[in-house]
Amino acid sequence: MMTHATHVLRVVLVVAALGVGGLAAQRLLKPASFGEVGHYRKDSVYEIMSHEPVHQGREACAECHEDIHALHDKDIHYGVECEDCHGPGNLHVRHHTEDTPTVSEEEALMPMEYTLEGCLFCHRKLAARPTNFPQIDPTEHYKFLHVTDNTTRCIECHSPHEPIYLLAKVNEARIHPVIHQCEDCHDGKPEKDHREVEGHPVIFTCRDCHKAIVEDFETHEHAFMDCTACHLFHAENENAGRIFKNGNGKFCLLCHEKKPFKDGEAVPQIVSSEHLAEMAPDLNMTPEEISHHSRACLDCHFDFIHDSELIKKGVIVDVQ
Amino acid sequence: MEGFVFPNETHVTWSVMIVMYPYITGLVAGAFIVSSLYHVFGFEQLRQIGRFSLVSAFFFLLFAPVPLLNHLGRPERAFNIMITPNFRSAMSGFGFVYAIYTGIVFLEIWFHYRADFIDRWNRAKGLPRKLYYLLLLGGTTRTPETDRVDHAIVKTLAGVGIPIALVLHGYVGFLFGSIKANPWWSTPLMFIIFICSALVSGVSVLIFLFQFVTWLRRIPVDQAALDTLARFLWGFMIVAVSLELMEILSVAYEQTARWAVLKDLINGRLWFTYVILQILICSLVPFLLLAVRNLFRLPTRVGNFLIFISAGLLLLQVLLMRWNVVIGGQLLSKSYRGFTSYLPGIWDKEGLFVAALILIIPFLLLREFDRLFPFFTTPTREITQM
Amino acid sequence: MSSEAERTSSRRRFLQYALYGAGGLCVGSVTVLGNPEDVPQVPSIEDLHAFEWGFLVDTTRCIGCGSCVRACKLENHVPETYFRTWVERYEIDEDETITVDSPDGALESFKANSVQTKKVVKAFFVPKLCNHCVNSACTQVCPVGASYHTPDGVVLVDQDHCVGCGYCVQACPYGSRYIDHEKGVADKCTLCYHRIHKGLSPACVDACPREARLHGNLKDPKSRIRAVLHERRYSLLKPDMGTNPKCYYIGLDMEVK
Repeated sequence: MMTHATHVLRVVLVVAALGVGGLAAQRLLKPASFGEVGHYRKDSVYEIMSHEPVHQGREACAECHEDIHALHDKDIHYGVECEDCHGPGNLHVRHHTEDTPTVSEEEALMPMEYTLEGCLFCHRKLAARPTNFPQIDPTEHYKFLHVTDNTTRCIECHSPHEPIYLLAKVNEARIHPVIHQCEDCHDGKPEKDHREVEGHPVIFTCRDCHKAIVEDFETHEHAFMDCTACHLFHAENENAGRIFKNGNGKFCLLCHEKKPFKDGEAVPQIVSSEHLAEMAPDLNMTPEEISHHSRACLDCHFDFIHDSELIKKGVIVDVQ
Repeated sequence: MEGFVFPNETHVTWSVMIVMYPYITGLVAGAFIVSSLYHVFGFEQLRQIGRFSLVSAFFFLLFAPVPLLNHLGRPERAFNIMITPNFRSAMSGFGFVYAIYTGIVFLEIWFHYRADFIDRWNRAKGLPRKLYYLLLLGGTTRTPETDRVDHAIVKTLAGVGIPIALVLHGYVGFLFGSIKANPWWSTPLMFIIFICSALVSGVSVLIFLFQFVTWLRRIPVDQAALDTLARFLWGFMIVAVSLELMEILSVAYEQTARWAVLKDLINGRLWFTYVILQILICSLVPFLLLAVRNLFRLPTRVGNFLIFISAGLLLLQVLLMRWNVVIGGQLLSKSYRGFTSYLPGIWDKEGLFVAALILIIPFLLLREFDRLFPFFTTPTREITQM
Repeated sequence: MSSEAERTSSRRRFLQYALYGAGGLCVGSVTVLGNPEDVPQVPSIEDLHAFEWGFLVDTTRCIGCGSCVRACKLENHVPETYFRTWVERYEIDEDETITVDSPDGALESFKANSVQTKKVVKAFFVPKLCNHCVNSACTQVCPVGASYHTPDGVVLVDQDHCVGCGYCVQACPYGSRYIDHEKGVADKCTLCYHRIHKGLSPACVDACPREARLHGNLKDPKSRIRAVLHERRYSLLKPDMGTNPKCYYIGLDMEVK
């Protein structure tokens, strides 16, 4: 009987040997730490955990660039990370902190001048963006500001670290109920006032509480503008937000500073350094002292906006 | 690109290689089942086909992992699937099932051809003689008793191999069918649909080759075998196509959320390859041809010609089915809002030329095997019935 | 080769134990003797069990600027045309037709409204990323155990073990995964695993100028993420898939899949 099946036995032995060999190979080739915690290589957890972070975070920037950081923190871009515009800081930090240099000066350089397109990543007007988020259509914006060169970058007027030259720190601005413009819901200005429309949702517009000021404002040169262009409102939830007063002279210069890419005829423009030099003798201050005085323009030019006397008289809120 | 696809979906991850793989394992499963019909279920008329289908299955099997290895991002780590298999994954079975099944087919061939190997060993000299000796593991005795043992083993292996062959191909179906994220793939029926269409492709390829070779060599066709195969082909294809159609008709009827995107897929990207080619030309036509052939009395040559055409069309049908499933499923976006596109390059690493090579080479190897151990001449070594 | 590999792996194990032991001694002694804050703590597996990382996206705050997409790309060296995170935009016009887009994942934000010929009545952005599902499909289907859950609930890919089969990419219902063609392995959002254990936030969370993204420990009853989840109404993407995702969405519109 055995002689008939010896060839079978040999086959069985070969197969068994392969099987045992396979098992042995599996034991040997199984990676270290595999299966210790779950069906995976435990070492992988620590390998991935130990990768070096690339973005450093604003605290790292603040360690050396405290002044810019303080300025940036005060203004409306406080929520924007330094590295969002300047790129990751890992090479820069390494170059400036390590004892033996592994990163060259060139590699450590971080881009400083943001392009027009870069600003528009956030600020381009899009239907999908919340209406209370500051956004522009570049063509319309330039037209409004009488800017003639449409390749003008935003940073020619707006400082990225201090975009709106706020007087007070952002989170120290006053709480204010949410205000709406007609255009938030309507196409263009409707004929009737919202209070005359039955069933109109309850909203606050500036006129509702500040009638005297608004009516006065409409008699002066800046009447074509929105209150919120200077009194920036930042909604924090559906009901309330903060209102920024903005008497900062640098804000006025956004429109009124003479620039080569602006049409000088449409808007009265000055060259601020020349203007300050002119004013200095009358005010008995140096031009530097005047420019550091934050309210600068408003101290003389308030009446172009609305009657400063009303505020001095305490007439701010006159609720209807 | 059409509509909206997720940003990562612009790339089609599973290429034409992953179309070839289930196609080839389908040919394997089908060919093996035919072989087992003879060895296990006693279909005597399939005797001549029996060996041929077994060896075909083996060569297709050898080439089955090639498209997979070509596709893997890290083919050098391919053995991880056997070193650290995650048995919750349908794909993890591949390593073991494939290894075991290849072993079974190889052994079945070994035991089946032992007589021929011994014969060759006797007549060979020098290196070939040593190789045959090694192949035979030194067992060069042949007696009627050893023949009986070999025969019994072949029968056992053929029987044991049937469920394993079904798993080897079926797990691919299950793999697709269990991907709940993809509305074109996700169905409990996918496992059985793949198996049934595998049987169709396996029988088709055997018929096609059989008829082609007998025509080429001008040897008389084994009509009994062909008749049996044609009947099985017709039967398998009815089951396979019915399942495929029932699956899609049931989704179309229930109109759950996924129907909208599937309808757009069928009417759009897949209109030509699925509706026109797969269903109309390559399913309906062979069904009718085989029906005519099987139900009506026709002259043998006409009947055989209809079988040949049907087999060819069905080979194409199964390939199209794999394409429509694998590629079709990746054309639609999981956002349910759009479609991407896929056109394999000809000379790409995972392109059409490589796909064609992978399909053709097993046939060339089969031809070489035939030179050594002819399939279709009158058997000269009829010492015992095998 | 066999005994060499055995010796190497047992050497490796010895070194590991020695390192952890030494590390433990250091931590212990410094806690007693020195300022614990100076020692970089590598959490043990047991320590990790105290965390279950979750993520929150407030779609009402997103402005689609793409800062998160850019930050993630740079932080994690994400290859071009692939995304670990992206922002989708949905625009509904006056005929109630919905247009969805995500140009290059919003890497360079959006250049114009999608719908130009009609009035847009409703539109919003939806940031997307890996949901780090509790019952993830991707880890279930990985044939080699390269895709896994860490003890603290983050789904990671062991790129030294992955074979690049792509099964996980197919299985993910959210399109969060891709094959990194240069490395030949699967890749996806790691929740900045290399940052969160150093007290940092994921790069996308930091980068967002609108605080639309938040990450946190769901096991910590005092975490901000838990607080927001208790305050606001939230939902999940494709809850019917049974993946139990841990990325919570505030203000998720039903049109978002």
